[in-house]
Amino acid sequence: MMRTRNLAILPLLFLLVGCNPIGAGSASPTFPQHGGFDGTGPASLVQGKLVLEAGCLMFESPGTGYERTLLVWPSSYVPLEGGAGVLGDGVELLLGDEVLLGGGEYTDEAWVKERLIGPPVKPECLTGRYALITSMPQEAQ
Amino acid sequence: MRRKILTFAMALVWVTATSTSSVVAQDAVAVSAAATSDDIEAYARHHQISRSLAESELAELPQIAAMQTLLSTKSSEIFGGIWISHEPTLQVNVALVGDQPGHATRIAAEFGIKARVQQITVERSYRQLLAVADNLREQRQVIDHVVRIDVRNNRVFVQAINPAAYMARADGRAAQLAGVTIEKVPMIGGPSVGIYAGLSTPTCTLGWTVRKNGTTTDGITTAAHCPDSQTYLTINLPFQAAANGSADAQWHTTPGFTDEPRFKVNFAGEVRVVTSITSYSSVIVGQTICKYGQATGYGCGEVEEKEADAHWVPNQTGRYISLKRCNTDLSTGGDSGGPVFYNLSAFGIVSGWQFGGLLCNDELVFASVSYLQSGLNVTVKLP
Repeated sequence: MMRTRNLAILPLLFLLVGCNPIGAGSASPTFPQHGGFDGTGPASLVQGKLVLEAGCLMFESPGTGYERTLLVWPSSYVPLEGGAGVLGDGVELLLGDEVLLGGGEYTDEAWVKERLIGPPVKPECLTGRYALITSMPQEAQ
Repeated sequence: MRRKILTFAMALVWVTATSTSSVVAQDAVAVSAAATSDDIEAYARHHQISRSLAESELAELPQIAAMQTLLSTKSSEIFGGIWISHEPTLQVNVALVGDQPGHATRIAAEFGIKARVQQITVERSYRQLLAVADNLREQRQVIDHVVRIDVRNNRVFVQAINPAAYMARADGRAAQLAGVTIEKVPMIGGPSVGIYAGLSTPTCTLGWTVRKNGTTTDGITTAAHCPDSQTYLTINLPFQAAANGSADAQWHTTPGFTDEPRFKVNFAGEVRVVTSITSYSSVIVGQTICKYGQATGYGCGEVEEKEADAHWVPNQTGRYISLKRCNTDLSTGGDSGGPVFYNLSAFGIVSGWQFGGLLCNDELVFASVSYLQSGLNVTVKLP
């Protein structure tokens, strides 16, 4: 289930389990980011289990088989070492966490690519389904 | 003179009343006899037999029912069920547990049953089948399946809309442990469960109930940027189509649910019937409009602009409507798709939020019902 942690306890966790934000020499997953929505945003949630596949952080969700949704993060979020998860807004998500995040889901790949910042995304990560994340875990009703 | 007239009038009333009630009673008998005759005719027609054969077969039913009662009460440990079959002629099938040579024939003879009797050996008694079924019904966690008994094949089986979801739950695991067959069905019966605007899915809020133009296919909307995979009460709502541009809307069919032209307006569950739609061109800057979403609930604001830039929508055309009320948080994650309304009229569905000013909450941005209808080729359902 969802395991979120306050930023205040992160230094201890880093020492214990070695989950560091990406630094020099770290194994680096592909970590697509978007440039934000300029003070606007979709009012929906996206849901899934955080997995690392083809070197990209994705949501796995039940569907026709198990569907993969490539996650596109806000520019202020950072990946954890070795693609172990992601850190943003003082909250850490780890692989295997099942979460609801603020954001929207899209299938228009060209439109999504226009919103990407940073290096291009590996072709094997372009699943045809993309979630542009706007905020960390939400409480579902 | 007045006395005579009164007496005559009373007599007339008595005669009229007597003859009327007599006619009514005769009519009732005639209607009942006609109905029975109709039923025999239908039975004969269905089984392609003569009317006289139909009458003699139907005359056996009370005896067969009496035998069923006796076996189920006095021999419940071996009684597996009774059913009638008609091919090629009427046959009484009696299921019994274990080796009971000639038992069914003897009992049938005692009841004067003339029809052919077939005895079938089964593993489980009807009482055992019923116990399994009742146990599974008691354990039911979600109304997404039905538990059924098939006496002809001496089994309990489950019909589920989503067998995988059922089997992943405790009630489904219990069914598997009991060796129950689980079949996938597109819908289950029973009292209809309504689906309408304002109800929650795990990720969004449902919008207006719609009908695909030129068809009788109904469904329900939500925002296009919501995940294509949507469920209500854990039941999958199959995705149909999405429209971006000015609509930010998608729609889903609702197997097993009744699509109702209603909308939820607050957390307490108050609902209203939607009786009209208000088009984009009829919206006036400054007018008050309300909304409901699963995250922020009920709220109202004033129209700030009709040309909001919904940057989160692919190919958006700047024809979204924003609502502002400085001290009210009108929209956040989970509200997307929810109904935007005033009184009983549908205005649109929640899309997102935009900056509302340094000292104010964010503004809500919604897609007009006009673009929802044209983009998805659907019409919002009204009573």
